[in-house]
Amino acid sequence: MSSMSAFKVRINTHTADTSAIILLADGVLIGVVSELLDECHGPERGKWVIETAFGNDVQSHGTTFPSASDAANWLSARVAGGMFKLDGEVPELR
Amino acid sequence: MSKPPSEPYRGKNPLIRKLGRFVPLTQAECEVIEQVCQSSHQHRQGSDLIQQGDKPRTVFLILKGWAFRYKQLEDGSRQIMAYLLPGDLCDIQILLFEKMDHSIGLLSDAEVVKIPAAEILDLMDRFPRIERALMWATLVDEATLREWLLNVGQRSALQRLAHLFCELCVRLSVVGLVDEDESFVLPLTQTELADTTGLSTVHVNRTLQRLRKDNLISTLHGRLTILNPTKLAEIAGFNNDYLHTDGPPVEQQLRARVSQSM
Repeated sequence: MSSMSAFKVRINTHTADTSAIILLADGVLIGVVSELLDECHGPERGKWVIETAFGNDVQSHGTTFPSASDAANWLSARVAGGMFKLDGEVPELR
Repeated sequence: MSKPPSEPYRGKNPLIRKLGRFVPLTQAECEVIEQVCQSSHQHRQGSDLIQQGDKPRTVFLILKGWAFRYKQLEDGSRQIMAYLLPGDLCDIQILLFEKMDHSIGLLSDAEVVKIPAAEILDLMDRFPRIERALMWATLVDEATLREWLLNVGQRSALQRLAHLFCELCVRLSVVGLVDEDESFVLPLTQTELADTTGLSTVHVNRTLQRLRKDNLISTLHGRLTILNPTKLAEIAGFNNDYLHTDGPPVEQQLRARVSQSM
């Protein structure tokens, strides 16, 4: 089982979608998930998406997830072979 | 981005308007095309005209509404390979297929003519100029597909959407479906735009937002207006040469080039 870690980062999408989390497995970056904050997303606003994934050939096809934890779990199951615990507050990247 | 000049087929059937861009059509040729288009049928948005694996028996001509060519993977993901707009035939070569290698669906309610194979062959036998115009139309379809391949493979998200909107504006202008303010009906969902451009719906959404914020386009009630055609074309790297809509009909240009070289 890989050791998972996560950090909050700001992301440049040219929209109000500025909140993202980077996900690492054993210290290696496996992906970025972001929150849909811009009003252009309509009913999808507040959900999370896989912004990018590294490692396996993962295609999320723009699937949206109800929480950051759901997005992280979906991604880690595919690229790191395990579930991702995103319990509690995710620390800022320093 | 230049739109096609006004032409002598204004108000005519969209197939005549389109083919007239390639070969100047006589009154008799226009009349025979009108005859071919007489028995049209209404089809509902979301239905397929023909599906992958079906044996094609007719050529479909779109008179009103939008259709699209697509292929689908087993996981349900889909790639849209072409939009078929009023005046577009989908397409003559499918009669050569034993089975369809792709599906043709409808993006909006549509008025469609199903032209039997024998009728198309007879038309081409009797009217070689119409046959040449259909050949030109096929060549432009192929050029458009090449441009779409370049779009998906090499252009940025912003360029992909910008290029698509520039192309649609020019193609719809040919059949008189663009208003003076550069606006036209765009019956596409963000999912369909995503399946066309190889982007996620979220990315399409963000990119549309950026195009709106930069005052390049506006969208309202299913219409898209190109607010700054020059800038949009510049961003897209759009050159409409592949659509062959500029200047006199293509065949006239070809004949002029041939006579100059002799």
